[in-house]
Amino acid sequence: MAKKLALAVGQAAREVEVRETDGGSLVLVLDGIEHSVDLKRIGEGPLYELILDHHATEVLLQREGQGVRTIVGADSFLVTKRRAGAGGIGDEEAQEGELTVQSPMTGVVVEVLVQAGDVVAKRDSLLVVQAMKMNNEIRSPTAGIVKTVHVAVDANVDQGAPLVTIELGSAGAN
Amino acid sequence: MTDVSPPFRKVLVANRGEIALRVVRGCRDLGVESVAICSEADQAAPHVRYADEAYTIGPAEASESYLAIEKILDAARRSQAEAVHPGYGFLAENAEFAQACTDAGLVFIGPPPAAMEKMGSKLEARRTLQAAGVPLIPGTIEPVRDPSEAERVAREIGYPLLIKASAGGGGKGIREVNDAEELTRAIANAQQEARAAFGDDAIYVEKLLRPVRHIEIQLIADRQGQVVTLGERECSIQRRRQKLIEEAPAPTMTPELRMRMREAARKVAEACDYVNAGTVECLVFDDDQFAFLEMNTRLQVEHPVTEMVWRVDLVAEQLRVAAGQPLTFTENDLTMRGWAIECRVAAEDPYQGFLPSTGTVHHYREPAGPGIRVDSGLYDGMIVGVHYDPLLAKIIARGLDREQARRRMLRALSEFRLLGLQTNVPFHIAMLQDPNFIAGAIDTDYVERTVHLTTDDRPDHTDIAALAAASFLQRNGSSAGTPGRDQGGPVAGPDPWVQRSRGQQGLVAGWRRN
Repeated sequence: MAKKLALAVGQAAREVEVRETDGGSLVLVLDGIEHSVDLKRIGEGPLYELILDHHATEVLLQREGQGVRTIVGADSFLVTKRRAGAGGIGDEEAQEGELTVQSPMTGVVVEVLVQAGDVVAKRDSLLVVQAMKMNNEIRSPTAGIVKTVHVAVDANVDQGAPLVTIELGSAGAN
Repeated sequence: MTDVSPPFRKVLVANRGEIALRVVRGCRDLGVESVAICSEADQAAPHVRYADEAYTIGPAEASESYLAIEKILDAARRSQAEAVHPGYGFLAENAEFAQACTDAGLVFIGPPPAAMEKMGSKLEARRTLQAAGVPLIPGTIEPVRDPSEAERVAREIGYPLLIKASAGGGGKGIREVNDAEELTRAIANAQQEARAAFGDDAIYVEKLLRPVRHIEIQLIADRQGQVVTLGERECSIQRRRQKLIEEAPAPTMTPELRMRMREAARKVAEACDYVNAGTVECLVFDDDQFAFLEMNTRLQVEHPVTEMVWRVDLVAEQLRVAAGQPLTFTENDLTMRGWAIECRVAAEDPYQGFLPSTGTVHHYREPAGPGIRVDSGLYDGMIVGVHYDPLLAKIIARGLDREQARRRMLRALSEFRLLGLQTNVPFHIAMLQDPNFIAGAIDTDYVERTVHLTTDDRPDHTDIAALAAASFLQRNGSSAGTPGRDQGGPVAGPDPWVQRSRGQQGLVAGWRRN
């Protein structure tokens, strides 16, 4: 029996079709490509072996709030289920709700380029964070309306600190 | 070996991370008890776990812990340690610390403070070594006080040149000057900088040699007056004067040049009455010319490649020599065999110009198998932050020849597993396959003028995360808050938003690079 899952993977959207096979393993369809998948838990912790098309890779999987914290390699994603009817495959502009852009590094805010109420397009610059004497432009991952700016110039921010919250899908989706 | 009595009863290791663990292991091999010190951030670190005793001496800031001389001496007193091993970095080349140890009745496992001071002042080292007949980089051996003096030297040796702080070293306090116009300003700035950074505004001028290889000679000397030189290490794979890959021997070395360099290193050791392990760093140019760069009066990060091909334990010899015992070998006892390569694994993002990366380490597993040694300070749950050096671990691969060592290193790098933190391992994998590296055609600027990885090379893990999470939801039910074994506490830090080029890479290619 097939089941469709509309997922938000960090800032991106993915739609995955899930089928159980008779042998107890899974077939997953992503972007029209079928993958054989087996997921083996290793020990009692959050470590899993993902056997994807007969290649094994270790991932960390753990519930976090409404979603699943998923760590692959150096990357950490919060994977959540998107609401039904929130758009089709890859249609990430049509997401509802809001998202908070977090600082990718520990540093100092040297410039804030948006304020609450601003309409932003995907890849618009939001602010500049300086780390190790390098200025890093933080761009919007999505189109929307700026709801809150959490920081001001000269603020010290840790990696993961909330910078700007954007209301999704209200503008620029088309 | 010959002497079975432990050189000390108990040694305090005044360091952290992989080098502290290396010294703790060396102690145990000799039957010496070890005492670890740590900051509040390092209480779960392996050097603490593997030592016989441990003392938390202060908060995470190095100035309040690993650099706090009084606190370290206090831990030594409380533990009744007889000697202190400083590792590298922190207080390892601080003559004041060495003296303070001696004054407190502790043996400092390193050179005498006088030798440390003599080599720590770059100008005094140049004067001493010129007198000893060691080839120097063309330049001055007295401080340069004003621009006209510098101009005269510049006319003699030619541009480009370097203005260096006499109290600098390890790549610090160096300024590049390309023409006469820049000179006056550069001198004023360099003096000011040197005064601020080192409290000593003495500067000097050296010719900027280019292209050069960085090749260094390891030596160790005992109190009986024996100096043993242990061949060379090639360290030209570096970035901003920070080494990334080292190997022994050097791919381009000839027996004749090696002999001359070892002889020069011996002269350096003798000229400053050196005792214990030290390294004479040289620049090699025009195929067979070399000049003294500086002496590091301590154990170096890259000492394992020498240990591999000369089959000695440098830390054990350091302890013996410090206790007044003679070295367990003479130069004639030893022969070099095989090849060794070391890769420094650091918390740096090779896809973003080696920006420091931070995060929490999950599921760390180190490589093993034939010919592989790993010296590492990593552990699961370790928070890699901004307090300390980004060096996390060293992978050392040994082979019968360079190609076997290189292939083993590539295998080891592919086995290196760590989740949740970006390291420079992808850089190492790229460099180990670089045709110029394979041919040994490298110099100290090679890494900087060769762009190996960019943000476009960063593997996109979004698809794998989607598939993994979908499988997880399918297996464990998708409603959040379902009671069960998968519940657990929060594991990961926040998801940093990182710009990714999406959909360019195939799924399998994406995760296989992992």
